Amino acid sequence: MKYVPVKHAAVGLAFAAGLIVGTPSLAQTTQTMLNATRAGDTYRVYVANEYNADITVIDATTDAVIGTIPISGRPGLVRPRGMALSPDGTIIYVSVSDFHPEFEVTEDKIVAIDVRTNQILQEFRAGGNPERVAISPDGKQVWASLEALAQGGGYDIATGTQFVQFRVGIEAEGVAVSPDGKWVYITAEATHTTTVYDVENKRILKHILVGNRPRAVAFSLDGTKAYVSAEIGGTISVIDVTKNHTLVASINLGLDSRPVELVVDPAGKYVYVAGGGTSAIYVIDTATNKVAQTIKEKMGRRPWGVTVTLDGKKVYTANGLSDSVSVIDPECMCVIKNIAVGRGAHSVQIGRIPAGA
Amino acid sequence: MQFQNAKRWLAAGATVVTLLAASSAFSQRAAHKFEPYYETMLPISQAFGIEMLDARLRVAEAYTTPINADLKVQLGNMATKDLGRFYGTLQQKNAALAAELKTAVDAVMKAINEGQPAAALAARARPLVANAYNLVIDPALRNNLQFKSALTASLLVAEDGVSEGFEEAVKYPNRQQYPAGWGAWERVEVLWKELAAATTPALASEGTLLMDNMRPFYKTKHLPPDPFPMEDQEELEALSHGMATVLENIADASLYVGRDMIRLAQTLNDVLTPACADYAAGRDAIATERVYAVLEHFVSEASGLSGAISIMAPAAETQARSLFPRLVATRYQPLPGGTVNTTISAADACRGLVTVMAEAKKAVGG
Repeated sequence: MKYVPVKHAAVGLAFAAGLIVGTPSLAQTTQTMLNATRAGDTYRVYVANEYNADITVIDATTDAVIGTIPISGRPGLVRPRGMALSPDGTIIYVSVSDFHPEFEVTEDKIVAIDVRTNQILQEFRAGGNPERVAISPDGKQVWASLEALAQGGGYDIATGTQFVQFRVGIEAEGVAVSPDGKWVYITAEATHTTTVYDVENKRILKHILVGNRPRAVAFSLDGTKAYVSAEIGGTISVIDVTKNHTLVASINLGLDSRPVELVVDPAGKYVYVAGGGTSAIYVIDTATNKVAQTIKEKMGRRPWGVTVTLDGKKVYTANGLSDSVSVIDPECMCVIKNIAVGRGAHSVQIGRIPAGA
Repeated sequence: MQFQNAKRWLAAGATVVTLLAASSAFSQRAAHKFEPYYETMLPISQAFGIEMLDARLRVAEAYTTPINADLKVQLGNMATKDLGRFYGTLQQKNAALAAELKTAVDAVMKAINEGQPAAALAARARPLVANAYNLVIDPALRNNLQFKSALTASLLVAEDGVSEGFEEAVKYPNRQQYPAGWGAWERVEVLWKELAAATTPALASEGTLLMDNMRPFYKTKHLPPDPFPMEDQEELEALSHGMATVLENIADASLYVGRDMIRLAQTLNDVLTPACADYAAGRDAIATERVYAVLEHFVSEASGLSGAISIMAPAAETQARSLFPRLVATRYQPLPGGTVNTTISAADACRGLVTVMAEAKKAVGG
């Protein structure tokens, strides 16, 4: 299976949109990316299409679709879902899982895609229905939530081997690595928990009860806080990392909200939350822990994934029911464009092509 | 190929989520006024049992003989967990009717198990179920908006309901869960008409759109052909929970008990405790009704307590797995290596579960 470019699309357009980077690995990659980026870099948006078993590639400057990367020849049974970015932004990691979670099958894996070529660089086995992934700040490890096993897994990128597996809650979903690389947080839908794994000491530190049906987790840029969405609770749990990983606040989005993925913007001012079933994006002011804005008009249906550019000038959402990506301008807090992608858009990330590459 | 158009229906109708977002119901409401599952947990469970018994009888009526082995197992729930949810109360209200109903259900199952036609027997049993409904559930409560909304939500998202029945059939080699979901869906259709007539035009419109989108999944009583489209179960789950949101807004009622785990643990403790005295006094049927009511909210995938304590207090959860199956018919069983505690008395098993609930409360911060 090869990358299929859209013939008429302009590829490799000049840098124009400012500094851009994907999330939820944004916190740990921000500084590295800021150091790495320079004029002339270009950016591409990657959208995991759960039911098409492929990845749509969008030029981040023009917001035009420029190609598709097949992930599996078994669409409908094998699905790419969560994605994460290498610290320098040049590799996208995709968690790929088989629809039959009760079986450990050959297509449970993590796939690494080279942003420069859109070719698959590496694949390695990650049995147990990996749903989402996160990358360590040094770029050497991938951490995955293994949904079917109620486990978290750590993988060495150089060798493609698993070096640790540990117990988390049932139906593990969200995963994030703290910006200092010390902690891995993994959420679990059915246990309503977030597990804190101590990377240095190789042990589970604690399980934290959060809101009802937690989905995703993201760290603040300074790593002192973690935000966990609760789909049924309609809340964002705020965990203070510095106070022994203690739940310190619960931000109410409304009982009829359905928060899923979330991302902290590069300035640390806002958390953007994909509203899933409500087809809205909630914007939380991190200073007040209140909803500053709810974006509904022209939003695609069931936004599941969300990411923000490093300059904070654009927000992208992956919309699972409308098979689209919505582009939001934070200046007006409004949708400025909707882009058709593949079936079941699940998550979205933005990769970087270094100038001259 | 009855599911070919499902995605089209969804695409056309999924605008409901936009409607939800645009409606007055879309708010930052932090709490609802009513909490029917907390206020009337036992009667809702009884009503759910009656509804599912009727649903399975309709399946027995609708499916042609001989019924395959897997479906026999599924229909066998009539005589155990459906009847068990309300049989003790029915006995107290009208022992003759209770006996007649049990005999009728047993006759249906006997015919099914022997490969004989069961449709006529099922048809004869259904009026008895209707009579039981009128006796077990106070008519005023049955027509209460919050009660009806909660019951409809249970039919949508609880085990054997619309969403779970479909999901089990699609996701696992358990295809015969589909008919249970179909039976539940038929009742949701009826209840929705009543609820829609009792609410605002905006909420009625939102709910009707969701119902329109769910209908293609259950437009036949028969199992869909292979391959079962994988995305459909997730779509139906999302639609079912979307419908639960509409029901919450119609009734101004919280329909997800797990939003407050501490209160849930305490409530399950409170509902369960009288059952232990009933078991000790030999009133097993009455006691069992409470165990079923507690079990439903203990194991609820979306909003239950068992998931949380499986990781926060695993010993307590292991204990729950060994004790619940001692008292009631359930898929909640010991994990590999564990066993059902069959030597303990029912009263002691019940007391053990009360202790589990107390430990669960502590584990979730209470």
